[in-house]
Amino acid sequence: MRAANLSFFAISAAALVLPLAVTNPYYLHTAIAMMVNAVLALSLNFILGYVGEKSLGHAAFFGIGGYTAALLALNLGVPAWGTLLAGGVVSGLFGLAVGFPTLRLRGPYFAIATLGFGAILQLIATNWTSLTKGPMGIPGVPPLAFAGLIFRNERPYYYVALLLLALAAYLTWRLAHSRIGRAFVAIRQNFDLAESVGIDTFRFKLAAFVLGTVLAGVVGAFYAHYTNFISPKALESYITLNVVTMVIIGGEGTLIGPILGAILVTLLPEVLRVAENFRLVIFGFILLLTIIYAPSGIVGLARAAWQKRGGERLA
Amino acid sequence: MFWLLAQQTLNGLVMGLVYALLALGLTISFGIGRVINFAHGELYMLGAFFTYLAAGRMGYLGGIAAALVLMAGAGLLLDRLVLRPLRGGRASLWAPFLATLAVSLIVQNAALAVFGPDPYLLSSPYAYQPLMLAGLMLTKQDLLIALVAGLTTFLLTAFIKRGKYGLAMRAVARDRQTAALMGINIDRVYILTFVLSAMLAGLAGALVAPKATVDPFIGRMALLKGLSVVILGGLGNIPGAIFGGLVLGVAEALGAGFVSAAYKDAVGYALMILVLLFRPEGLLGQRMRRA
Amino acid sequence: MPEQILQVSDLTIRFGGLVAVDGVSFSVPQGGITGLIGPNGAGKTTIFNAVTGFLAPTGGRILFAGQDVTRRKPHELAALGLARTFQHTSLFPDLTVRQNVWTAMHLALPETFWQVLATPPRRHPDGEQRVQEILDLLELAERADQAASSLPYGEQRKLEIALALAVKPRLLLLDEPAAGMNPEEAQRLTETIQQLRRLGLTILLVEHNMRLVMGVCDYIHVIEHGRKIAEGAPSQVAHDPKVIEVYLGRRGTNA
Repeated sequence: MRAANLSFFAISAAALVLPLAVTNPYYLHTAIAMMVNAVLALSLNFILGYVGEKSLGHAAFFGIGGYTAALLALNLGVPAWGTLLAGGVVSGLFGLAVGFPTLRLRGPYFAIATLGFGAILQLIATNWTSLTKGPMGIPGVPPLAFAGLIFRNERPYYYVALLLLALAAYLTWRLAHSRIGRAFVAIRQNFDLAESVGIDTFRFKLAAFVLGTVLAGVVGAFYAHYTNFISPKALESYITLNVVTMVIIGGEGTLIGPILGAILVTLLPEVLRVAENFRLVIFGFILLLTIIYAPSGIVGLARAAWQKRGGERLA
Repeated sequence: MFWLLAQQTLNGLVMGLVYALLALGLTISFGIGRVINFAHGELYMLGAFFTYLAAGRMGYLGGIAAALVLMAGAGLLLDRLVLRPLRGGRASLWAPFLATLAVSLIVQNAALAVFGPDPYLLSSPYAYQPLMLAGLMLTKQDLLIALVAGLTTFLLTAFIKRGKYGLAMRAVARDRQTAALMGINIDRVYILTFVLSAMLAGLAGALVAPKATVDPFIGRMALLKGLSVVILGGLGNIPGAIFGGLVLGVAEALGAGFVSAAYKDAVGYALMILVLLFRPEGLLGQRMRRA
Repeated sequence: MPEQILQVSDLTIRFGGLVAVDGVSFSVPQGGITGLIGPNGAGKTTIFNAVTGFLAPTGGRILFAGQDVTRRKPHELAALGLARTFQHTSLFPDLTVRQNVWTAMHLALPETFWQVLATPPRRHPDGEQRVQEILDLLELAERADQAASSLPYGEQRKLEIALALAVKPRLLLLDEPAAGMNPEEAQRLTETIQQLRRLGLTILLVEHNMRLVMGVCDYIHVIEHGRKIAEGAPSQVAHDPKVIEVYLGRRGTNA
């Protein structure tokens, strides 16, 4: 336990001072992308990892957050931060609308509905040109600002991203060790039994999903401000696949897994730059091999290795 | 107005038969193989590319034949290498589904690396040959699609309803443990299911390709269309897949003709969502209880 | 006359054209153990699933503690004090024994979303004590930190009862608790059930292990082909010619 606390503080401290030591904007950008991915992965983890319902339209909620922020900031002059909140709320409302009818059903209906929802949103974002400016996207999303200071380089965004990640991790950690998190896991492990011990499975599934969509909306809004841009590309299905990959290769239903997954998925393309064309193919193979041979992801492998070591020590 | 309606309905029925082919493959892999095959669209895309590659030497029809053989191989590989290791044991019910997600990622991007993002034209000798039919226009390709898709649908339905292996497939769909006790070789039924499923998807791709273009991304849309149809007709429901395909085809054609071509695809999703909301068991399915 | 905790009247369940349960009525008095017996496929488990909300009845009415609960969802019934076990072993397989019971204490430990997020983590001494009591009662305390899936079969079935007890039931429904048990395990189960009775629990038992039923039940309802054919004290039922014919008779030829 001690060692865990110590390493937690060490990592936090390192994360806090990193932007002071690293000035190369490219590295900072990569770090921001990594954290945005980690927040997204943690937001999907509630429903995909803990509850075990397959949500396949996560990019849509990221995109809704981004579009909400862009449109509010540019058309109504809503100040930044307010747009982050609004991105979360609007995304959450869409989550509610998608989840309410489909999470009642058992079977793959929710997975298919979320997939279809993602496709519909992409169509709308591409074709409703009077609102979304179509496939070219919306440029000029204003940067974030704090106390009159406009964020002009990566460093302040780094800290906002870190804050969002801390928030997502805190949510995950507290929920996982509460009655609510136990209810989530109960639903994944044994649906009928969960109902019979008094868990309102529908309500908890919906709560996990909506919570995740709110978080995805907030981080989507943040990303639109950070890049000053949003386009239908933010809604593409490969982004959803990326996030699903992060959660699964890291270890679904854990706190650390999705974060590890996000780091890996963000860094792998950089490492695989040589094999640019086959990058996503390699991704796919990693995902496939994980599903077949290590269904609990990196965290599961680490746990098994740890237990094995412990066992040998005892023997 | 009437002619537009009739013409669009006819166009819709032709596309609807293709959707039915796509959905039949998906619905048997769900109903019998217990997998929502997320890579089904990629099988469709492969079917189109294989036909394109083979057609250069063998002509369009020869190309389709060659592609079907290759698709049978693809279905076999999918079942043996990806799905079989995930059957039984304590693997979650969802693992095969996620695995097909990975397969989709692999196949789509491998195709992208090999063929590049630009569209290919698969030419068919029938593509631009119009036929007039009681005042309505149809290309010979449309006629070919209607004939081949209609015949395949008919044969498949008959095969599953009456054939010896069809009976085994239905038994496995109902209850795989009992089927195993009855002496049915379940493993073989799975192979047959995914081979058939892949061939159906590939055939759909090969038939549609001359009406459009072929690129590594056409599978995504095909998957969504297939899933919409499967939802419309009811998951795992074979007559439902055919009926749903025709409904979707006609609805889209009418939507494109009377509303807006840009939202043609949205018609299908909107239909799917309406069905999910009000009749999740599908238009032809038995009423189910909401838990 | 003791108060009736459960009253089922004219319960009918159809699957398509098939009538699985046909106008069955019975009631369960407060306290004691009531049995619902009948040969395989008689419709016992179907009745059981309707009573616990897992299946919507086609017709009829179910009253629990005087309230109409027909078509309520399982979790709503649990909140009213109706707990059940399942015919096939049903646990949270990857959780430890203790975590299993903790999870089943869901209703006893209300914690809202905001409480979880906005207040510091806290312990629940009452809950911890209750979990320990349940584990002790079912002799599972030594296994507390093992994964549920790693328990031997007999103990898995005990853990199921532990989970049902965590719901604080006013009525406990046991669905074929002895299914798949060897005589020795079934004997130990009988003792456990007797012990639960001594604690004042009301139990409705679905079972076709006759020795178990005859040994523990105060009153028995016999179901055959979806209809009730007899009821009474065990000794009465055992001598009912109809019961002997359809149930005990068949059992006799099997033995």
